[in-house]
Amino acid sequence: MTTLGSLEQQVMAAVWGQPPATVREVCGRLQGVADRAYTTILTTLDRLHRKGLVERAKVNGAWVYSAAAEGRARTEADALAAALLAHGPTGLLALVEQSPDEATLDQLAALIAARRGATGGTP
Amino acid sequence: MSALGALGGALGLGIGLCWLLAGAAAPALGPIRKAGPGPRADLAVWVNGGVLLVGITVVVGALIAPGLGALGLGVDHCDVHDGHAHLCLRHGPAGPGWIGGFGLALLAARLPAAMAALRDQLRLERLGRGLAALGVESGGLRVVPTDAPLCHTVGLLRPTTLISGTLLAGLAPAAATAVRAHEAAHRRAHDTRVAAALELAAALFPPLAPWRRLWAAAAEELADEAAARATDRLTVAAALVQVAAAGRPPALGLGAASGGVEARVLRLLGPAPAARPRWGPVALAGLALTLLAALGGAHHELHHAAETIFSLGAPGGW
Repeated sequence: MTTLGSLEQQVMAAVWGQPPATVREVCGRLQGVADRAYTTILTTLDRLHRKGLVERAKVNGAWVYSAAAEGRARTEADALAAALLAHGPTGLLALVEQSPDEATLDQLAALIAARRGATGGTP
Repeated sequence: MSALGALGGALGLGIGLCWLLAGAAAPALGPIRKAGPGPRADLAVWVNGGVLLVGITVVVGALIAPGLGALGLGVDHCDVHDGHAHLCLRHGPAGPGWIGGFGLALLAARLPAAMAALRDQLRLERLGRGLAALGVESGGLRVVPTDAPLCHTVGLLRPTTLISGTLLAGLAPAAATAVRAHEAAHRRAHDTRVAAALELAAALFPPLAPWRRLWAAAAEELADEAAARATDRLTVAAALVQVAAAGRPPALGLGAASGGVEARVLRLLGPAPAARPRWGPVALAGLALTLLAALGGAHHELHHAAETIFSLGAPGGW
C-alpha cells in the first residue's frame, strides 16, 4: 500500500485530474496551500515519480508532471466507481447521498457566503 | 415432524412478535424525529436491536426446556401438561398452529429481500475492495483515480473511505480537512456495520425501515458535527455544497428529492446541538444482559407463555 506524507498529499492534490504541469506550475497551484520552495516541490515530484504515482515527460526541455494511472487503472476505477454509484444509497455511506438541483445549491452557497460575511470569515 | 413443528412454531412466534413490536414502535418516530442527532441515532439502533433481541429471546426461551428434555438433560414435562397446547420437541405439537404458521409465512415472504440485501452487501464489499486496491492512501482517505463523484465509506471489517482524485483536487484544503474528519467519524463509529445490520433488519421486518432511514440521517449529522469540531460549521457546510455540486448529474439532479443535503447545510448554519452522552450502545448491552438473565431464570415461564399463546390460537386443544 502506498502511503503519502503531508506535502506529498498536497502535491498529488495539485496534479490529480489536472492537465500536465511543470514544477513551476505545480508551485503556482499550491500557492496559499503549501508555499514551498521550487526545489522542495521538485524533490517531492521526483519522489512521487519514483513511487509510480506521477508520470513525467520532457516538453520543450522542461519536465511536465501528471498523475499516473491514467491508463488501465483509471478505466478500471471508472467502471468500478460507476457500479458503486449505480448501487444506490442502500448499505453505502455517502458524504452526499443525492445532490439538490443547481438553484438550491446556489441558494445554499449564497447563504454560506452571507454567513461568512456576517462572521467576518474568509470566503 | 414433532420437533420440526415445535421449532417452526417457536420461530414463527418470535418472527410474529418482532413484526408486532416493530409496528408498535412506529408512533414513536414522530416525536423522536425532533430530537438531536445523537438520541435519534441511539434510539434507532435501540429499537432495531430491542426488537430482534426480544424475538430471539422468545424463540430460544421457548425451546430451552423442551430442548433439554429431548437431549435427556432435563425433565420431560409432557406428563404435567393438562391439555393445553404443547411445545415439545419429542411429542408434539402436531403442527405449529396458525400463529406459528403465520409467523413462518412472514419469514418466508421476507427471506428473498433479506437474501438480496446480503448479496448487495457482498457486492458492495467487492466493489469497495477493488476501488481501494486502485487507490492511494492519503490522510485517511483512499484516493481513487477516477472522475466519478466518489466520496463513500465502505467495508464491514475494515471500513475504507474512497474519494475520487478529481473531487479531492477540487476541494479547498479546509474543505478536504472537513471531508476527512466527517469520514473518519463514520469509521470510528463503525457506521458501515450498523448500516448493514439495519439494512438486513429492515429487509426482514419492513416496519423497521423508517428507523434505518432515521439512523442514516442522524449518522450523517453526527459525522457533520465531528467535522465541524475539526474545522468549523461553515467550512463543513461549504464542503457539502461543493461535493453535492460535483456529484450532481447534469439533468437528472433537477427536481430530485434531495432534502438531506439542504437540511444538513441549514443545520450547520444554525447553532451546534448540545453535546449529549451516547447511551444507545450501553442501553442495548443492558437489554441484552437482561434478556440473557431472563433466559437463565425464566425460560420455563417463557416456554409456558409461548404454549399459552398457541392455546389461544387453537382453543380446542392439541
